[in-house]
Amino acid sequence: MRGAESAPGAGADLAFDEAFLRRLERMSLRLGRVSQTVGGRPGSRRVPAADFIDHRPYSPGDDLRHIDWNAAARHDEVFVKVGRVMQSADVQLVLDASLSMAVLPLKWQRARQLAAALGWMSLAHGDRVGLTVFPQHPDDAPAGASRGIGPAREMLRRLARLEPVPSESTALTPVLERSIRGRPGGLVVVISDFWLVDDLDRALALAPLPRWNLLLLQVLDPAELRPELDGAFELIDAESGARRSLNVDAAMRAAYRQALLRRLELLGRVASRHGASHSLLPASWSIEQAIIPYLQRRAILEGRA
Amino acid sequence: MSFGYPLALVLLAGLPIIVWLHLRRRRPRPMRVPSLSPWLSLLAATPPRRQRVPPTLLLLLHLAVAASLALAAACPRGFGGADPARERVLVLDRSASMRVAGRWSEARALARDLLATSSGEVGVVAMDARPRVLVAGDPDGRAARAALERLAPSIEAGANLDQALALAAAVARPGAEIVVIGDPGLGRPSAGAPPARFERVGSAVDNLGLSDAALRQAAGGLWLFARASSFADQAREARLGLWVDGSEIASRELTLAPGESQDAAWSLPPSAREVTLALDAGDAWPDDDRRQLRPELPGTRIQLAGESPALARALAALPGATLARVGLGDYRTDAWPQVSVFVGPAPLDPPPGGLLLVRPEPGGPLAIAGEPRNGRVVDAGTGRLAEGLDLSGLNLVGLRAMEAPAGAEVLLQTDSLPAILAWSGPTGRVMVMAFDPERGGLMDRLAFPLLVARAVAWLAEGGTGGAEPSVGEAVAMAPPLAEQDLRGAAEGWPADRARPLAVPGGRPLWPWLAGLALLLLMIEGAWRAGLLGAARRRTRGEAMGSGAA
Repeated sequence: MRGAESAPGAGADLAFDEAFLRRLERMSLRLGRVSQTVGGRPGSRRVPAADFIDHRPYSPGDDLRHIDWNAAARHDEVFVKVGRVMQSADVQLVLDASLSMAVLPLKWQRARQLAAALGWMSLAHGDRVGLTVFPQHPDDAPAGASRGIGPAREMLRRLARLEPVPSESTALTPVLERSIRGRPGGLVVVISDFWLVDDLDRALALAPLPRWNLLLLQVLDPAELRPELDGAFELIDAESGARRSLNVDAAMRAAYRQALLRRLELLGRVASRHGASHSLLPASWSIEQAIIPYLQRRAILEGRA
Repeated sequence: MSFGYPLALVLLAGLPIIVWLHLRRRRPRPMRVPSLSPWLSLLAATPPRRQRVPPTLLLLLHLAVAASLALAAACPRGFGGADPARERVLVLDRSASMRVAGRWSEARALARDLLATSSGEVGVVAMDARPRVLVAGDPDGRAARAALERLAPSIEAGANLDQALALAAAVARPGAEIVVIGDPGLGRPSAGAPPARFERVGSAVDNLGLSDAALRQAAGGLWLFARASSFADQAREARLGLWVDGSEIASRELTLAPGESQDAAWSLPPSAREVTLALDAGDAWPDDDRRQLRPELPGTRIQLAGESPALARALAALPGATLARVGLGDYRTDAWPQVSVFVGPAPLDPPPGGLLLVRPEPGGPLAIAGEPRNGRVVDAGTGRLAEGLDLSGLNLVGLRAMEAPAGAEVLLQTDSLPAILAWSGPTGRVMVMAFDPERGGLMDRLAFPLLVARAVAWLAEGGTGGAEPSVGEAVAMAPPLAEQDLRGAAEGWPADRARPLAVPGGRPLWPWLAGLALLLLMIEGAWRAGLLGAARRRTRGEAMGSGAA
C-alpha cells in the first residue's frame, strides 16, 4: 500500500503473502471516471503543479511559483506549469455469496481472493472501496466506502471468514441499487457465477455509462465448464435443493457444453449492451499467476506487477 | 457343436435377468451442483430416451460368466471326434444301461453330429439284445435323423455287439465307416468282427446292482437265486428286499466291497406268481436295483375262435403260448386248450378251461341286450387285470349291456356300461370283454397286449390243465410286465454291462467353459479389489467439482 505499512498476516486466510500484496499495490483498476476527492490516482483535471505535464498561459490568480520562467524567456507569453490532480475513485465490489458459489470450494475461494485483491489494490491507491455481499449476509455492513490501511485489513479478514448464505433469491438489482445509491459514479465490480442472476439486464441499467463503469467477473469451476460426469446422477440444486435425475453420457456432456457457451454468449451480449466488461475466469486459474496477468492483458488492470 | 443336455440352454434366458439387475443397480448418484438451470434446459431440449444398458466391463463379465455356465451345463461337444465327409453306419447302443441320466441324450447328440458331418449314404443300426437295422442307404440322412429321433433306450439289458456290427457291415458300402456309440460298459467285439470306431458317452457311475436273478424249481419247491454286485470304488451297504405277490417276505443287509458279489437264495411259496427283488442302494443307476420275476407258465395252450387280428397278435405274442386258430363251429372241446377265446358269438357248449368272450353277441348263453354303444373308461379298477395300465380317456366301441351272473366282478367300468367282467364258472374262469377291441383305439395302446396277457394268465390259473414248471426248467426273469415288450424276455443282466468304466465319452467342452467362467470370476474379483483400493484413495465429496477435479 502506497505509503502504508505492510499488513503482516492480513491475507493469510486467503493465501495472500506479503510479496503478493506488494505486487497488488503496484497495480490499479483502470477507471474512466474518478471523483473530485483527493486520492492517489491521477485525475484528468489540470492544475498548476510542480510535477508538470503541460503548460498553459498564465491567468491572473495563478500561483506565481508555478510560472515557467524559462519558457517565458523563450516566448512572448508567460506560461504556467500544470499537472494532474491526484484524485480518488469510487469502487464498489459486489460479491456473490450464494450457495452456488460455495458448493465448489475452489470457486468460492477464488471469488473471495479476487474480491480481496481488487479491494486491496484499490485501497492502496486511495480509492473509496465498498464491499457488498449478496444475498444479504447477516454480518454484512452497509455498503459504505472505506479508504486506507485499516479498512483494507478489515476487508481481508472479513472476506476470509465470509460464509455463503442460503437464500431463495439472488437478485442483483436491489443489491446494485443499494451499492451505488448516492454515489457520484465510479466502478462497479460484480463477482459471481451468474447462474441465477436473471435480472442482470435490469440491474446493469442502474449503473449507466459514463457515470459508472461496470466490470462483470464470472468465476466458474472446471467442473462447471467441462463436467466429467458419466452415468446416472441425481443432481441437487445447491440453491433450492431441487432434484432431477438424468443419465449423463458423452452426448449429454456435449449438449451441456453448447448450452454453457450459449449462456456465456448471452451474458456477454447483455454486458456489452450496457457498456460493461465481462470476463470469464476459471476457478482453476491461480489468482497470482493467471488471473491478475489476464486482467492486465484485458486492460482491466494497469500498472506493473 | 452339439449338446448333451440341450434343455440346459434354457439357462441362457437368465442373461436378460442379469442385464435387468445391472439396470436396477444403476441408481443415480446424488450430486450437488451449483445450479440445475443448464441441465434443465438440456432435459427440456432432449427428447426422452429409453434407458440404455451401459456396456460396462462388469456387465460383460457377468454375462460371459453366466453364458459360460449355461453352456457348460448343456454339456456341449465339439466336432473333434468326427471325420467329416464320409459315409457312415451308426451303431447306437440302446440297451438299458443307456438310460443312466444323460447318456442317451449325449449319444443321440453325437449321432446327430456324425450324421451331419457325413456324406453319401448313411445308416443306423439300433443295438440291444436283438440288434436291427433302422435305416440303410439313406442318401441325405433325413430318414436316419428321423429314426434317430424316434429311437429310445430300451429297458432290456444286454447289447449284442457282434451281431450289431455284422448288421452294420452288411448295410455299409465299401469304405464306409462304422461308428459304435455306446456307454463305458460296452464290451469289446470278438475277433473277426468288422472294424469299427467306438465313441463312448457318459461317465462312470457309482453303482450297486442285481447282476443275476433266477427262479428255479428245486427240492420240491420254488427257489429264488439272486446275486448282488458292487461296481463302486468303495465298500457299500445295501438292503436287499424280497416281495412275493406284493408282500415283503424277507430282506437281507449286504455289505459289498468294491468289485465283490454276494449271492442269496430264498425258498418261495409254490403259489408265487410275481417275485420282486429290490436293492435299496440309492446309487446313480437305479435301473438295475430292482428285478421282477414271474414263473413262466409254460405251454399255455390257447385256441382262438373268430376273427380279431389284434387279439390274435396279442395272443401270439404271449411268451410260451401255443395259439390255435379255429373256426367258431369247430373249436376244440377236449382238454387241450387251457384258455379258449371266442370273438363274437359265445359258444353254447363252452370248452373246459378258461374262457374269454370278446364282443359277445345276443343269442348266446349270455344275457346280452341292447344296441351297441360307446363308453369312456372311468374306472380301471384296482385289480391285477388293469392295475398300472394307462387306460385313461379310452373310448370303447361296441359296448353291449350284459346281465352279470352272481359273483361277477367288474374289472373295467365305462361311463355307460361295464366293459370287462370276470367270474368263476363251473368249467373254469370266465372273462367277458363286452366291447370290440378292433375299434376305439384300444388296440393301438401298449395296454392292450398287457391286458390280454393278464387275462390269459388269470384264466389259465383257474384252468384244468396248467402244468407247473418242472424242476430245472428255465424260467424267465423280466422287468415288470407293464414296462417290457412282450416278446422281450430278458436274458439276465451281464455283469460287464453294469460295470462302470471310467472312460468318458467324446470331447466334452464343459470343463473348458466352466474353467472360463472361473477365470472370469477371478478377473472380476481382482478388478473389484482394485476398485476398492481406488475408492479408498479417492478423496471425499459428493459435490460435482470434487469428483470431476
